[in-house]
Amino acid sequence: MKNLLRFFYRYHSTILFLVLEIIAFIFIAKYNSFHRSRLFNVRHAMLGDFTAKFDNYSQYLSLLEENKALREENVKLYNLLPGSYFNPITKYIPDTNKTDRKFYFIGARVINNSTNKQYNFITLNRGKHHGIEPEMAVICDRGIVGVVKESTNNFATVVSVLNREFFPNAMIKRNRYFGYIQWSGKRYDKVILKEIPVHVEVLEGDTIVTSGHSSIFPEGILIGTVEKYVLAEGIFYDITVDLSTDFKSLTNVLVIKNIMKEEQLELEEKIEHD
Amino acid sequence: MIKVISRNILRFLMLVLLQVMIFNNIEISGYLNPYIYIIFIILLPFETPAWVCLLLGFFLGLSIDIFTETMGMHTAATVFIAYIRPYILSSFAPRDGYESGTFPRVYYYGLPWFIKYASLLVFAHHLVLFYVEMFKFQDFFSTLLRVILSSLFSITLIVVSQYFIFRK
Repeated sequence: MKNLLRFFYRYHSTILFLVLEIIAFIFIAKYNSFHRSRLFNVRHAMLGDFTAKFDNYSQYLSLLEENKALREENVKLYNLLPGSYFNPITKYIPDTNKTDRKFYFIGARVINNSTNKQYNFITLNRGKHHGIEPEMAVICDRGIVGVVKESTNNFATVVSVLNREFFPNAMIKRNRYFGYIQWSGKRYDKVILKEIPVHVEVLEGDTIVTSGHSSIFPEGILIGTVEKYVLAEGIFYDITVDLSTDFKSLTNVLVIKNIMKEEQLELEEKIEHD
Repeated sequence: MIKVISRNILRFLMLVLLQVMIFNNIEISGYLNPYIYIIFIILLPFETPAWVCLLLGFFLGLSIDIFTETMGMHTAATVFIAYIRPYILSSFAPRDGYESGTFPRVYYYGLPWFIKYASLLVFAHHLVLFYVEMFKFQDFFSTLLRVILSSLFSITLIVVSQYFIFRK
């Protein structure tokens, strides 16, 4: 308090000066329309800028929540897609128990991931409690990710596409010739599409998608684009595919449950028994 | 003391009237507007406390503003020079300080001292006044020219007044 008084005493003329100047400028702003409009413009420019900036920063702070909301929204939308139904003519009714439904999407977050091993796995923060079981497909908004290997109550491990023992079915979207995908174990952004016969026309830049022949992946999940192709083993091409999924920055994924898988497998088993 | 105060009050009124009645009507080619009313601030006694000086500057500027309908502009400029006056005075002080019983005039401290002292204050006043009046920096140099020319005009009038009106 004493120091405060001393401060005021010491700088009383400066303080008085500032007060009087402020009063003068208030007069200027109040009684001169030109100055008032100028001040309004200046204030608008300054505060407008400030609010825009502040808005920017506060948006950053809420990104996490926003992401979560978007993720949930995405899951909902995926579940509404006609492709999630066995019979696409079905109306969009968000009913998971509907007998017609074929695929059901569950949102999850990557909590562990590797790209530098020969057999890479991903861990998700969702498990049995959330309906995740082994052999379910995992994708992200940019394309294929892998297949669930095991799940505990709250977590699940996923065999990544970057795993030398994982061979998902794939096809060239343009002409529907199918083969399978193999990882060479070298680069995290490239895989090799095998078993495309030499008579098939392949073009650089062709889109490669999942074939839907397995009971795991729905048809048409993006894998990547053709970078180059070489002849191998005489009658097949080795096609190098640029992965659309960036495994280095993988965060949000969708686990796909094929509701009709059991039925399909049961039927297919009968053939093998015969 | 009483004599000094009454004299200053009288000077205050006279200068406001002079400024409003005569000098505000002098405007040469839009550039030269002499503002001589700040003689009041210039001629205040050395011993005037800073806060008195500021308040006087405020009311002086305000009175001019009321008559010229430029609310606040002269106030801002006059308060500004009232604030810087003590600093200018102390930086131009003679080696042994200002003698008591003297006033900041040509009569006591000579013409060169007075011109230095007065022209700084006048220039500062005109600078603030003209730029506040413009309120933008678009015509920066033409405003600066106005400041300089008007300052020269005002300084001339103020120095001349030292020989005719405020002789002692």
